[in-house]
Amino acid sequence: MKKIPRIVPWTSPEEFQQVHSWLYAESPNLRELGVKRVKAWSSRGRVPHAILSTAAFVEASLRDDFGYGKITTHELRLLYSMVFVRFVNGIVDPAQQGVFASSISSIATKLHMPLWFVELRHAGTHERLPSLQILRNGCKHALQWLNENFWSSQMPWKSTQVDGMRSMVFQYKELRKENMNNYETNERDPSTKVVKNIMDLISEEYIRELLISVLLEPGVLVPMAKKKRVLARDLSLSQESIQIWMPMLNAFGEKWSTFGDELIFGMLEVLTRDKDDLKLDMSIPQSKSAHTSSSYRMTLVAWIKHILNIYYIENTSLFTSIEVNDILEFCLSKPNAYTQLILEIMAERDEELNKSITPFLNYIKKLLHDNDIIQNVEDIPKITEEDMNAEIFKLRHELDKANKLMKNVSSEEVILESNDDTMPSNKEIAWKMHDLNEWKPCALGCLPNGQVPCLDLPLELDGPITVNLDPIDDINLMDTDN
Amino acid sequence: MGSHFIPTTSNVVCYEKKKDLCLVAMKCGESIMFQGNVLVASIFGEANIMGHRLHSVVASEITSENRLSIDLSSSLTFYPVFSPKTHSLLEIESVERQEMITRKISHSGIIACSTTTSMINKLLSNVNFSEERYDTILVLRDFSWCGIQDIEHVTSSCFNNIFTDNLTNNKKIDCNNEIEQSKRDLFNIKGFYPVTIPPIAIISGHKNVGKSTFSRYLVNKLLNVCPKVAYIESDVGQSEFTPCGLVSLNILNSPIFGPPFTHIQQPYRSYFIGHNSPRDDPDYYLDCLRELVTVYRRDIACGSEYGMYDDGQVHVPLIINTHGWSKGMGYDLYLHIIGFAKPTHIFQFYSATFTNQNLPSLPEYIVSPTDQEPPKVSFVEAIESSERSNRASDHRLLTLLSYFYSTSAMAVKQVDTRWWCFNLPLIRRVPWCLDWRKGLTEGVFMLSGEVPLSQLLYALNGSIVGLIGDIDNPYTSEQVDKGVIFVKELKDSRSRIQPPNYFPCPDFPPPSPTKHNCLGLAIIRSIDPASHSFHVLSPLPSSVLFKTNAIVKGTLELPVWFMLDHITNSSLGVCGIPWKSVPYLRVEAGEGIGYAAPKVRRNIRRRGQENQNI
Repeated sequence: MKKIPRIVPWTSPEEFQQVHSWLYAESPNLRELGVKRVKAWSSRGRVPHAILSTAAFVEASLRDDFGYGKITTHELRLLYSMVFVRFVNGIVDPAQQGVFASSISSIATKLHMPLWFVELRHAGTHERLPSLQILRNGCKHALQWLNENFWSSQMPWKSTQVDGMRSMVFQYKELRKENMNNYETNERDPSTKVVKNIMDLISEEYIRELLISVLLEPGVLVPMAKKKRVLARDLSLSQESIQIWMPMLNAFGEKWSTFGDELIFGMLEVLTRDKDDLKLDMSIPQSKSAHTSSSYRMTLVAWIKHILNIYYIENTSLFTSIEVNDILEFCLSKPNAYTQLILEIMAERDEELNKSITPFLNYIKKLLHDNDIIQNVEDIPKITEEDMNAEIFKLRHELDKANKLMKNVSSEEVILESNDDTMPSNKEIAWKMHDLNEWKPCALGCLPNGQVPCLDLPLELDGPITVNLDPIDDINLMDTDN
Repeated sequence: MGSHFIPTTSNVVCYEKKKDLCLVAMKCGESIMFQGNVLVASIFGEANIMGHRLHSVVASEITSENRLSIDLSSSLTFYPVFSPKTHSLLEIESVERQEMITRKISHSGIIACSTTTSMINKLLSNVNFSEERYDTILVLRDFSWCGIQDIEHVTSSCFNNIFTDNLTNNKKIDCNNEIEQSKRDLFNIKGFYPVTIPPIAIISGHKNVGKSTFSRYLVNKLLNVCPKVAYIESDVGQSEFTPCGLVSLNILNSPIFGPPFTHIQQPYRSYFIGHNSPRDDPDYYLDCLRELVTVYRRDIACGSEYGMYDDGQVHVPLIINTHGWSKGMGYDLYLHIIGFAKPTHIFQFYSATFTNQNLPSLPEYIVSPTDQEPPKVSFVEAIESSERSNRASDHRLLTLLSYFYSTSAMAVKQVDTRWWCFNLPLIRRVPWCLDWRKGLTEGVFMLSGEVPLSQLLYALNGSIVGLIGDIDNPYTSEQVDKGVIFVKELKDSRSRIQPPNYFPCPDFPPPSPTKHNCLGLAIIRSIDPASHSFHVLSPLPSSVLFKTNAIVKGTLELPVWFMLDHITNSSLGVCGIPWKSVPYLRVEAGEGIGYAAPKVRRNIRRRGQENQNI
């Protein structure tokens, strides 16, 4: 079954990280901006409790820092105490798993929460209101605790984790090679132990980022030496590669039903990545050129072929949950030399598919071929200025024609509308159907170009600044446009 | 509760020549509720109007032929009575004679001239009132000469028909409808329109006891005898005819067979509460419901199109379904609703097993009120269902899906055309572009939290909002030139974007229920700040959409299913955008302490509570 995504209030992981850095910034202006954004998130709902608490602590401390004379000590104590009560309850309550309530302190201990947080909560609710000094101190520590226990674990993965994974994968490779050379030993293959360790270390959600990214590095599934890589004519893996890696891949496939899909799509993404994309994608800083070399890519195609063969032919339970239709969709939507090969492999194995996609394959072939021709500069005919002017004239003429047609259409529309009802004209202008030619289905929240536009409105609109006299220009608003 | 008086030729006699006077004979307990203005005098017995006892100061006697007549020498005093729709309509009630009250006090009024009194005597001589032992005999006289009803024409639309009933205006067109007119015509007095209010039933009880199902049966039963039934939904979490977050008044003219999500319909009037519970702003919730009841009384119960007095057949009874929040503030709200709805019947659910879920017994002022007839309270046994498979959130989701995927064919019940169109996912649909500078002449209301204006678009993008329009004349936005640009334009070069007018709560109250109503729900599927436009998805027809002049954001959450493409259903992402770049969605599980969004769990027990039922 496919995973159902969960709703989050932020538009992108970048926005999430941005708010994190705002909330923990030195500048009070930035911290206030972070609080404001969390308020917008709150109105959407589904904000993790830790974020709400962080923002509440930051908001309270900003009040403390800049509300001098406008807020009394008692008011501040009430403010901080309430934030504390809600913070501790919000962390502890989800951990109340049983039918009967466990004590808060026992849960807090389990969650590595300092017990004096719990005491502050208790005092704030039932006893004498805690003093401002201890509340200020508590606020500082709570923010630090939230940063360590929540925010930093929200990084998708840490580079150290990837490093650990890489060394384990290479350890496996060495052990496996050794084992393959010692045919006599009846001992249990020590490499299986490494596979087990890897599987214990990560959960299914992170196999793409942590594991597959490592597997796709040169020197792992794709051998470092170019001569060991696959040839375009042949597209079959060396026996050595299969013997080294298949036990591991099989084990992963057995453990995680999505592994086959994740691996193939990880490969497909590399295969369809442009050189320009690579420059932008900072997540794989090493060996940029390696990922674009054709021998590397051919080897990936061979791996996909190998896995698809298992899926289509062999009667094993392995890789049965692969979503072939998704692979098909992906390849058809991003035609290039490699996806074309994969389409051909799939068509070979599936007769019905062969029938239905042959026209597409022919088209893709032609398309790719034509591209090659145009890239060949000498084939492009020489164009004189006269030709250009003639072309411009022709285009203008067509444009005029098109405009006239457009006008006719829109005037008809107006007539239809006015028949419908007598609308004031400004209402008509206020509501328009999106231009059909410019409309493209896109994810909710995105414009037809697939991007979320910058949603910032000027900060001055919020009225006078309450936190600082610093000029506000130092705030670099997030620009999601690029 | 409306008129309790059936006019016949034997108890109402009018002066045929001039049609400006009539005699009404009533028995104790009978009452006439009316709209308009009239002059009233008592010639026999007593009548109660707004707490005052109108008694006859003229000596009346029974003549030898067993006929009643009044003494021409004593002065007969008429009192002007005004009953416009702007306020509760007045009632004239026949009451028992109280001999104890001193008869000497005489108040100033309009003294009848001798022609009037002789005319009365002439009428009296024609009928035999004494046989039937009437308790009160009143004289009603035309009072339209005073001219107050012309106040309706001063403003263009606000006070239409507050004195004159619109049935009168339709009279010329509606001459075929003689039966409808006949009973009213018995009075034959210009400017006097008697009114009856049909029964009002309230259904109450704890959640999951079968209130909605009971209401559905009640609607269907009533439709056996009435052409139309009015329904007020006050359960914002699980509405019968609309998606959640709304309170509404619906008029039903055909029976309902099926669960709520299969019979969504455009309400006669509705208001956007914006939450699944009235908890956050109970006062606004009550204001909206109170207005719905008023609208029912004014437009439906005594409105022209839904039948006035006349035939019992034309009455439109009202059913009010209440929320299942039976504890604490919920019970308080319930009592408030009873207070202004003044039901004639109360159906209260009770359970013999879970007695702690039963509503407390109703307070004395409701069970036996001093100023009106007591409501009939019936107890209904709750359905004891152990299975909790149908959760409220599932019902909400079904209704939302049904609402946003419905087509215009459903509203008109078109045959052989899709009423629902689930084969085109919402995210693939071409949206409306609403230019907020031109369309939102009122602005954006935020019902929850304090979202600063600079962050407004972050809150609105990809969320459910209520579309709000003016109630009376939807096309007056031009004349109502209140385009007070709330936000001054900024000169900053960076901010070419002109923000919408913004009314965050609680600094600004939500749209007033007497002026604005909710047209329906919409999804802001994306925002293009550069062109000042919201990209809006809504099942409403354009004629309704164009009435929008404000949008309101509450806390209704957009379910994840509206963000996915259930037809293509690719595991790669949505509309060609890979998962990691899809806004507002996350495929990986969240980790870390405190990741869970706040969620309330009420079933945790303390040690020592082992033996208690929850």
